[in-house]
Amino acid sequence: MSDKTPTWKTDFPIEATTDNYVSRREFTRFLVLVSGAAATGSGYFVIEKFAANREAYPTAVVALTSELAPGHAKLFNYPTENDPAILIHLNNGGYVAYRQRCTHLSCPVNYRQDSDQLKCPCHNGVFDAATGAVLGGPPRRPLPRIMIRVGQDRIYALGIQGS
Amino acid sequence: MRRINPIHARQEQKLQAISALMLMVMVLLLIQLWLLTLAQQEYLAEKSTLAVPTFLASVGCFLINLWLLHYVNNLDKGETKK
Ligand code: FES
Repeated sequence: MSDKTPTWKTDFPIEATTDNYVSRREFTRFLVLVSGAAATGSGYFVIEKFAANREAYPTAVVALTSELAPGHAKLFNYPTENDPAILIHLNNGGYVAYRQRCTHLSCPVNYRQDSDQLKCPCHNGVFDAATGAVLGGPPRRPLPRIMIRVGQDRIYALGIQGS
Repeated sequence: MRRINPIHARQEQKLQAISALMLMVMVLLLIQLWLLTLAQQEYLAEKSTLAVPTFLASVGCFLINLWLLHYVNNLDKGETKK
């Protein structure tokens, strides 16, 4: 009796090998599909690159040289009204400007005159005010720098570095 | 003693072949995902020097995957072009 092939095997004569083969084959096809999606996704960044190259940044007056003493900062919006930015007159006399959005989770960063640093209140991210580099906290990327030109009595924003 | 059934042997062979192909496709896909994160990191840092190279490399991986898919499809025809 026990040597007899069970009825279910006759009714469903599917081998484990065949079953594994089919599932792996279908999974491989699916992976190729995902691979196509990944390649398309990479294409998005290329499109963005050329779109960004075409978009010219405006030249805008952001402050008067007389209104910012060393160790002070001014908030402005650049390149559009929805992009908060910060202009800093460093303690050493130089001017720098950055996007004000923290590169961690986009909280606005504040300038600290005593340490010449930009601090993010959300998770204590710290950036170097002179370079925008990360000094501490969770952010991984430096603050995007806004290129400026200091004229005789005005400071102009010219564009965003790296774009 | 079990006798080796030629149909079973063929199934075993196909299973091994598909496993190897699946592994290769997986490795290429992992490389593509890594390239994608590279491009995204650059994009978030407002840079774009790696956008084109990562895209080309990713398309290259996809083309290799398509070529491997051709072998996957041929497995069922019982013949693989050399
Ligand atoms: S948002 Fe700035 S540290 Fe998290």
